[in-house]
Amino acid sequence: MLGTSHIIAPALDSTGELAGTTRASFLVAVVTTSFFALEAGAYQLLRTTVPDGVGANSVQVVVIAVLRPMPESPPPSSTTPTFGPGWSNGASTSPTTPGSSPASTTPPPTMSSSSTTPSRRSTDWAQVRPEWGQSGGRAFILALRSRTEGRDLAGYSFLHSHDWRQDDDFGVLQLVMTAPIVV
Amino acid sequence: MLHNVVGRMGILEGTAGDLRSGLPWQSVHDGEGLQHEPFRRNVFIEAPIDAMNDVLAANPSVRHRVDNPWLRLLAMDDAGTPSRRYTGDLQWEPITPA
Repeated sequence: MLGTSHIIAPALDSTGELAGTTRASFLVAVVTTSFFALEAGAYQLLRTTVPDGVGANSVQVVVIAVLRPMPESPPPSSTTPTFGPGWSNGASTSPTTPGSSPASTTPPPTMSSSSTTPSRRSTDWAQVRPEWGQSGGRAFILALRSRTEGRDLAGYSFLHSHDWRQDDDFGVLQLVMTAPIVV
Repeated sequence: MLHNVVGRMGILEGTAGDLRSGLPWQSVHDGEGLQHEPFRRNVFIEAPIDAMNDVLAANPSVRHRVDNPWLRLLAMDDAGTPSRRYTGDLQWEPITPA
């Protein structure tokens, strides 16, 4: 920023060495370059501070989570609430997550396209409006995926795979009962 | 809610700059019918009764919803069969699945 101001100040100074059209052109170039530099900087900042993993809290990712089994071991603890590596697709798993299962580092073939992954769609506001998320949801089922597998629930049920036997201190139970269920 | 109403023209969604003139209806209507039906949701949970009671006791906002009841809470037994229904005040009664 200091460098930029040092460049702009002489450009604005009518007593400087640059004069007339040259000075105006220089000023335009400086302002334009600074603008795009700031834009690029802000874009990078937003990219780094809002990782894809933020979608792990959203309804859409939770819905998709029922398609994947629970990991054998409880999810590693993390500073941000998460349903564990096995519950989200590989693209949203933090690279720093210890003990990731192979499934979390290698997305399944059907979810390999980043433009169509549920986690990406869940943070894309060009997709269906969030208000539609649970409309028509007559039932919420928090249980093993196998309990409803093969049953026709006519699209009216919100499924959340969960095995309480692997839920230490029932932390996931509390998370689901206090968040998605009461939405 | 992310909708910031602009006059009577439309809304701005969150921090986005586009004025969305039709969005209030798009949020609730698909062009043929309303999408949000009023009903009481059935919540099925496969977990020990004690564990669910602990969560309810520790979270009044959840307990209010099931005690009053805005939600119906049902417990699945170890076989995955809905076997008990929450009746309020941390009490459950057996049910016979249809």
